[in-house]
Amino acid sequence: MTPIPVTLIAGYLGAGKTTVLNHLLADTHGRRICVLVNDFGEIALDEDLIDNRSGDTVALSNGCMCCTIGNDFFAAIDRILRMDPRPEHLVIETSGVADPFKVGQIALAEPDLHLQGVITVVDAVNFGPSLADHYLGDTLRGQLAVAGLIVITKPDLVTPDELDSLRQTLTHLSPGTPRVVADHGRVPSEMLLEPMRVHIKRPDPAAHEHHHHDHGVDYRGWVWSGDARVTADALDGLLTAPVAGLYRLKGMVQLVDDSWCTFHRAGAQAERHPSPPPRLGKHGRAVGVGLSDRFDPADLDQVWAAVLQRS
Amino acid sequence: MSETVVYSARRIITMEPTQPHATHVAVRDGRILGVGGPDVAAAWGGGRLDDRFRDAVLLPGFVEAHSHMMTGALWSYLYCGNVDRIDPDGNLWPGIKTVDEMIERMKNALESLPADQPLVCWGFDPLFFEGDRLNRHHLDRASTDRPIAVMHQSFHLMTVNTKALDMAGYGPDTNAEGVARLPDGSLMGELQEMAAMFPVMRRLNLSMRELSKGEHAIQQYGKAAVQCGVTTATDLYADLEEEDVETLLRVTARKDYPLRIVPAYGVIGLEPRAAAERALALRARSTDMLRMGICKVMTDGSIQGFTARVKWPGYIGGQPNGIWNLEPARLKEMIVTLHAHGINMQVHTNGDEASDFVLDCFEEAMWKHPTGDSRHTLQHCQMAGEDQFHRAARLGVCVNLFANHLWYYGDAHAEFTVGPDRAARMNACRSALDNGVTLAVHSDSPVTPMGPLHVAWCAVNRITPKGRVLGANQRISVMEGLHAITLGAARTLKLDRDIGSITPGKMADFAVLADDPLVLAPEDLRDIKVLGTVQGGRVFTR
Repeated sequence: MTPIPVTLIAGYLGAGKTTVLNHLLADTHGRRICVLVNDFGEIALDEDLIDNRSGDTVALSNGCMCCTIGNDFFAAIDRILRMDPRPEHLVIETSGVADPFKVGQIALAEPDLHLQGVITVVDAVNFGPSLADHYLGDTLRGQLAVAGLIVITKPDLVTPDELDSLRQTLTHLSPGTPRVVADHGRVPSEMLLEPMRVHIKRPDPAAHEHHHHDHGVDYRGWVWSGDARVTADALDGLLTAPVAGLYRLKGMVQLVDDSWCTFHRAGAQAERHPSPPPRLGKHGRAVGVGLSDRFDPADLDQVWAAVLQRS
Repeated sequence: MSETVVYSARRIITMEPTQPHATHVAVRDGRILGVGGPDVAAAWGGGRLDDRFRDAVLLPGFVEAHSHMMTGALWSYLYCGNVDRIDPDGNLWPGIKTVDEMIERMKNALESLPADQPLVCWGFDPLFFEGDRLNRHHLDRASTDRPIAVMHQSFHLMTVNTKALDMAGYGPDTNAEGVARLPDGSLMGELQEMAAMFPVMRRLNLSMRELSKGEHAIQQYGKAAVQCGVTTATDLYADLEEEDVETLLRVTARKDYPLRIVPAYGVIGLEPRAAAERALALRARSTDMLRMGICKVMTDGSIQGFTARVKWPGYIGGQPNGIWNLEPARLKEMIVTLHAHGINMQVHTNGDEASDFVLDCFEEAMWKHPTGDSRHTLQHCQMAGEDQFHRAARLGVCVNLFANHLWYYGDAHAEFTVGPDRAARMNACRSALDNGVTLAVHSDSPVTPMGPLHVAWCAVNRITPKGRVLGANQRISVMEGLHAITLGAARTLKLDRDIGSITPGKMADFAVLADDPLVLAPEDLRDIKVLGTVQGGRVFTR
């Protein structure tokens, strides 16, 4: 049996983990994701999406589910491994004080799991004060040291200068780790679920001096999901249209002849292939990722609107 | 009218200032009717003399205020520790000192074990084991075709044989932190921390949690208590699901059940108000033999595991500070909410940063919701300094110190964790008493063996296996040590109205000892033989 990919979502209380998870659960990524949370209380699942609830599990109509950890984390993992069918991806929300390095060990040790990465959510407003708290500072530093991706939430509530200084702090605490700015807690699910660098080595406590010059990269995401059908010509136009700062674009849509296709654009490379329809949902979906200082999701909104109009 | 029985004894140590010593105690309806000399029951119309304890010494029944239910059922596994231990049925299991002895014991056990069951062992402590560190090759000598798992005494590690490693799918590619390797890079068989043990445990169907559940666990716990003179014991982190409560009520109500159980409702991960309401509902269902309503809050990890939250200057090896069990803000919310509901809390704090923080929480809770006698207890509280004891006294907070650590981990603390100066003030019983803090000491069984006399011995002598006296100025007297395992412990649980001393009106709970701790040398305290208990006037002999 192939191991279940595991992604950890770390971050302090109030950082916005739950908002990120809410979007992930409700999204149309077409994967049967199981999200393991501390308690349902904070997850605001759309009642229309809920298929059924039973004790510690809520099943959603898009194939995803949400389970609570309850009072025994390992028992919860055991329950998930016994599910039939097994989820296609396991996302674990760690508690605000968890050391993701430690929690991640389970996915490294258990052959039926595969650690895909650790995402640390940082709240642009409160991160600074939390880092200065002597009960917490070391915990937050530990969460960043093992991050494969940093999600910055509430960027709209701080000034550009403050955001910049946050970036510098993050560069220092987690050199070379890519960052994505979450607009209203939303990050393309693909970015969260794809394999990322896994930092399994604890930093040597004796080595305090870092001499990294890799400042990491800041991303922003863009997502479209819907039932519109497009023409192949219009789609090909999209794949070559100039969009400042766009780093990657990919998706799956239905063409006007009812067939489905996938498309992918990275730098100057672009391709489109026929594909079977999505297994779940039957919605079209497109995801873009760009460099945050150059890419404006509104640009892609416009280009996409033009594609739909031309079709 | 109910019968009055007068027990005579060589000496009765009462823990009551009015009459510290006596020779006779009268018992009626499971309670103490009178304490004094041969005519103790004269005023009550006399009683039947029972002189079975005439050569023995009676103390108040010991109160183990921090132990766990799985203590008894653990014996369903094979004991492989280095110290002699007595199982709940009174059988002596000699300590194992060498690999050969261990393999011998395993082979014997395998003969009678059904073929489809793994061999699970417990109690092993590498600190006290001669020769090379235990690895899979040693265990393969007992069996190569049946899985063997040896739980270490700390419960944070296990060593397994090659068969068990294979079942878990561990191999050359395994790169989890806790899967230890031999110098040649091959798998050692030692698995450190739960993440590394979990793949083996789930394939062997091994659950520590299940050891705390069901009738068998409760029965064995009761028997284990009798072996060491305990008449009241906590289960200091209990799920208390409805089924558990019903089983507990049923079993503890039996006429021959020898132990008053005080389960502390584990609230970590629960919504604070819901937890408080459940605790109050449980309290209302308490019986004399099952005292529910107190809650257990966990804050940090362990000192020897470097997971305790310690204040500057931290661990001497430069390890990063430990981990919180819950966000400090959530811990505070939990503590304030439970306090506001009038619920007694037993709060796990190992490191001094954790105990400092919890005292902050208590203080805030008390400003917001002033109470009289809330009597919360810091559990373990191993590193507290004078400031914290002073503050605990002012706040009416009790401490239950982990005195057994001085023996089991004292050398390690001096050498590897916090260094000799802070190790010398660990489990500072003298400071607690001198600051006026209500003091209990505990075993945290099964983390260390249940045995209040041993715990008191540690508090009195502070000796380590390497011969250190760890903080001579923190030693307490034998009488103070005995107080901490009887009345002191009862007070931390708010049960001293009913138990903890031998005085008219309290429950007739006694520990029956073969020797007199006030006559023997302090160093001999732990060697005194326990003959049995009297619990609610019922006699239980070993």
